[in-house]
Amino acid sequence: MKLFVADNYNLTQQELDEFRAMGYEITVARPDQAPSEVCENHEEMEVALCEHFYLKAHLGEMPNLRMVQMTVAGLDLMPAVVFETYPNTKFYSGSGTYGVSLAEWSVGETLQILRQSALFEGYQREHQWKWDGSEQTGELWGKTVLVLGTGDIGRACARRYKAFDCTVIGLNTDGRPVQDFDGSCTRDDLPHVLPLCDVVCVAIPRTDKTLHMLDAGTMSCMKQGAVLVVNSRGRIVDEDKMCQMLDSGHLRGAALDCFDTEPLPADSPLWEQKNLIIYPHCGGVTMGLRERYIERYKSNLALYAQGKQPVGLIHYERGY
Amino acid sequence: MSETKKLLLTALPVTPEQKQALEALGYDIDICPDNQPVPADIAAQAQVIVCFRLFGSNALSDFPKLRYVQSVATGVEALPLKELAKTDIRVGKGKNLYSIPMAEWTVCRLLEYYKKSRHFAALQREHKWEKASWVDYKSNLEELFGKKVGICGTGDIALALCRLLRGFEVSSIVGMNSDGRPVEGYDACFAPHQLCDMVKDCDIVVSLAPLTPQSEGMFDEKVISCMKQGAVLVSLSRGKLVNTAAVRRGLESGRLGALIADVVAEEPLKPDNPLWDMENVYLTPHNSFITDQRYVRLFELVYQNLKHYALTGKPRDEVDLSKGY
Repeated sequence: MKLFVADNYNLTQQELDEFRAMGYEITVARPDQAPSEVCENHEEMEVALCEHFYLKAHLGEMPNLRMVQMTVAGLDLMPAVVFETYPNTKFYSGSGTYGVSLAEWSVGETLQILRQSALFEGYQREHQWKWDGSEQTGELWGKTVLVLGTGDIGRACARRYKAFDCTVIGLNTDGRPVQDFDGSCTRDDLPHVLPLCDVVCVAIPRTDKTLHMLDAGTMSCMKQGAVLVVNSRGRIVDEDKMCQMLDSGHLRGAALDCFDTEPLPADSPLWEQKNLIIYPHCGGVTMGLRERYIERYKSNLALYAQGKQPVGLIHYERGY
Repeated sequence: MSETKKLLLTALPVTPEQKQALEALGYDIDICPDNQPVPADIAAQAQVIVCFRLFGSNALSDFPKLRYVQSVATGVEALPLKELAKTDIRVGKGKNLYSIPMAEWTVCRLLEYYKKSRHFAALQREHKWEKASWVDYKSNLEELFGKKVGICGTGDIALALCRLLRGFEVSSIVGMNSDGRPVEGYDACFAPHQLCDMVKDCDIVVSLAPLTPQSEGMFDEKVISCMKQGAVLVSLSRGKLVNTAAVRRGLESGRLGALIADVVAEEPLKPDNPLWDMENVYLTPHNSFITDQRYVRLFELVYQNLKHYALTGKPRDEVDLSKGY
């Protein structure tokens, strides 16, 4: 079986040898190299480890792919032309690898907002040993948390918030109960659930059903002093409304790892928005995540080699 | 309940309703500042005292009728423990008072360090969108997941911290207490003479033991040299447990990956101390215990202890004066 790797993760020789041991004959390219730059038999490739944007950039160079293993989880950015070019190829996502790292980022940012870390970091920069403002420090203990999305990432968030004795409600398409949550609700419930929630954590894929879920009107239902954390995608939260609510103090603070426009333009007013923490869409990029990617590569390549169904098959029509 | 007792209340602001609630327990209340000499007529009558460091500016002998001292702190080394041990005055401590805020502080600051918050805050100030990358290993974020944690101390704050850390799926938690007795919540416990063995493979070591003559300077050159390369030291209970010069050398050599400290040996930390500007030093001004719940919990603690004392003649959370905690 001919395996093509567009190597985003600096795979080691040992890791590649493990793939070879499964019966794969491997061609490796750097992410900036076309398949045709690194081999002549690119048309014979059967399996590829690469992202959709790589396929789009080199459309048609590997016409006989039967399986593509990606690491992305959200399908919203996937160009339709890739699916149209590969109607019979099975695509697998990296869903299930992001829970730990994005949940740690989300709970960490929640704590930093509640505990006013930015204030005290400022004191340290100024060499000031003083308590001013300490009594406005909040606690996470016992708070009510709404997590938009009850997939792998949402559940990993819920488990960690539960360690702080929080009541955690999950929002999904039909309000079905999901393990690790105390309760569940749907988009239609937001107007009466939001006023009860101290923390809102956005961990939901962007689909036509979730787009602008927290629009200006819905956001105005949020509890006074609530904390907003977004770890999945932009264009779910209304960024202008969020800024107004941060200015007025309606929101205590917000942390965003994803934005309506990425990369965030240098002249965006968000950079200077008070009480907003900005991460450049890498809150989940940990060394642990790399290990989980490699584990997914290994297990799915093994399943494919054995003629079994790999995990994470993408259903394009569902949007995830 | 017997006759009304004279209560001297310091270090705890009370609302009129809270004062009434204490009076209803059978206390006749005087209120004074914690850190100033108490007027002689009040001192002469006081049978019960609620304070923090009142005995820094008052002698124990100024209070001839004193039967019970309730501290508002968890660590009670600011009280005249040796003198108290020679009397039959009972002493209560602030148990479970600060466990939640201090445990949350610890997880918050560890995640700030692991998620490189300082780095990304600086990028934000410069309007720079620069992702962590797989090629530049140093720019990647780290995880609490799978870390091994050592906590010196097995008291209420340490137990709350254990609970939070388990939620993040750390690989194991080991503890240290006075005799190495096993404590639920820990995978293993060590005695003080085994400290080097305990810390040697920990990614995170938390200093959370009470300050006693035995624990002072516990984190010295030798213990720090036993720690895992790149480990994080969290100094949370009392700064005097940690030898500052040894920690600085550990940070400079890379033996220590970071110092996360709410307490230092000499407080307040002087403005020219080099710790302020060190890249991997995260400082807060001994305020990890302060949140918007501070006085809510403090009143609840004092109320419950004074109620217990009124009903039983004993503090609910009593200090063992022979041990000092």
